Amino acid sequence: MGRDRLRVVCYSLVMGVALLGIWQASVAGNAPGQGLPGPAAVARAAGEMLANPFYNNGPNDKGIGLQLLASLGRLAVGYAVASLVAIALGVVLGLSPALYRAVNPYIQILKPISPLAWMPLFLYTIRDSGWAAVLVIFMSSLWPTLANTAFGVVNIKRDYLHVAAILQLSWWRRLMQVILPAAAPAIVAGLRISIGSAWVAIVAAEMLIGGTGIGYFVWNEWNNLALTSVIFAIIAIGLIGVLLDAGLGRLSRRLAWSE
Amino acid sequence: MRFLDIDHVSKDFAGVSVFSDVAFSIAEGEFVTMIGHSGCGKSTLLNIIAGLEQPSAGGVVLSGREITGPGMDRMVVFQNFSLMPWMTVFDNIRLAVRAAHPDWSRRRVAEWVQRYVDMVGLTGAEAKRPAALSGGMRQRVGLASCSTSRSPRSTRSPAASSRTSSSACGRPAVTPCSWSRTMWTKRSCCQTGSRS
Repeated sequence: MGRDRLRVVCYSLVMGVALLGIWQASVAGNAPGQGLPGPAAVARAAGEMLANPFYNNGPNDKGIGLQLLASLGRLAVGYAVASLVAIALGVVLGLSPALYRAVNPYIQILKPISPLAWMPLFLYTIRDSGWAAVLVIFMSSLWPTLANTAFGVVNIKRDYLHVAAILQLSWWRRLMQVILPAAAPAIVAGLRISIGSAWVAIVAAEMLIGGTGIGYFVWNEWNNLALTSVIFAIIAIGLIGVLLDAGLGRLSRRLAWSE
Repeated sequence: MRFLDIDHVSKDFAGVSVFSDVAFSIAEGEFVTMIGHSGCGKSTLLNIIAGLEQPSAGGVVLSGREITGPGMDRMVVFQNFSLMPWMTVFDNIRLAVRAAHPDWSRRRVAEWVQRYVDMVGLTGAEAKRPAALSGGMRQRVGLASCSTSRSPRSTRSPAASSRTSSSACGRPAVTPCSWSRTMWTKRSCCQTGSRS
């Protein structure tokens, strides 16, 4: 086990170093300021940005920390509301096969729509770009959780529901102690997919709405032709995505159960 | 004296008859085993007695009252021994104790749960989940959950209760059946299963 792990870490490190080497070699001939920046230049820019991540010099010049916090704030609101709605609706659909079949065609039509396609409607109806972005997050994180919750509840073993019926549990206790824990593994799997797609959607939404956020930062730095910042922002987006997923991974291990 | 009366019960699923005109009665304290080939309707009949399924014709009468739905006067030990796999042994029994005595304080409930845990000899395993227990241990947790609906008076004597649970509705050593389903009414026990 220990040796296997060591080998995996070694492979990973070798691959990472090789990629950085190829990247650095391919940009080595460029004159300073010309062509794609290499990893060394990106690292220098990253050092500068991380030295003061929370500065605020007006609307077009904010630290990367502030931009990430703005994006995470939108994500938190949109994702939390979407998760509550999706879990509640998913439980209702999962418990009522007829309703599930009736609603399913609409879900199937709505699911493949890119959450960004709703943006014009949101902008027109609520006239606030910040909240429109939150609604985009809402739309992007609704469907996976909804579908997984309904699936999880439909597939609860009848024995558990029978026990709940014999014990004559109140609907609240039945929900909190039987239905939700029984479906929890499926629900968390949905939540995990949702947070991934929400984090993907927020970058694009912020590019459209402007103002604040990591997506806007990427677009703004592109307009400044500051490619080092763009590349560093891309890496930051990836790392935060990993952290978000790891958090839900821990939740899923906590709620897992086996017969 | 008729305690449980199966009154000419028939059941069909989508027009296909599972059984028809089943009629027998069980006296208080009687121990009954139903034996039959797989698919002959043992579990279906038990589900009807439990109130989880409705008969297509006929009815079931318990102590003079017709059964219309599930209730704690007819506990069932299912294939999984009626345990919730996401709950600990303690929480599983507590779910049943709270259901049987909704007016009890948390402390009193916890006290009684511990009493049932001790009664079935699982002291020390309270915080384990069913997956960490052997089949026999799970079965004892299930029996403890089921006996919570009996009146506290009859369970106040742990020795008598554990004797009932091991000799009448026994452990696998006593009954060479795979315990697919067991039903307890307040004072009778009825079981279906296939021989293993």
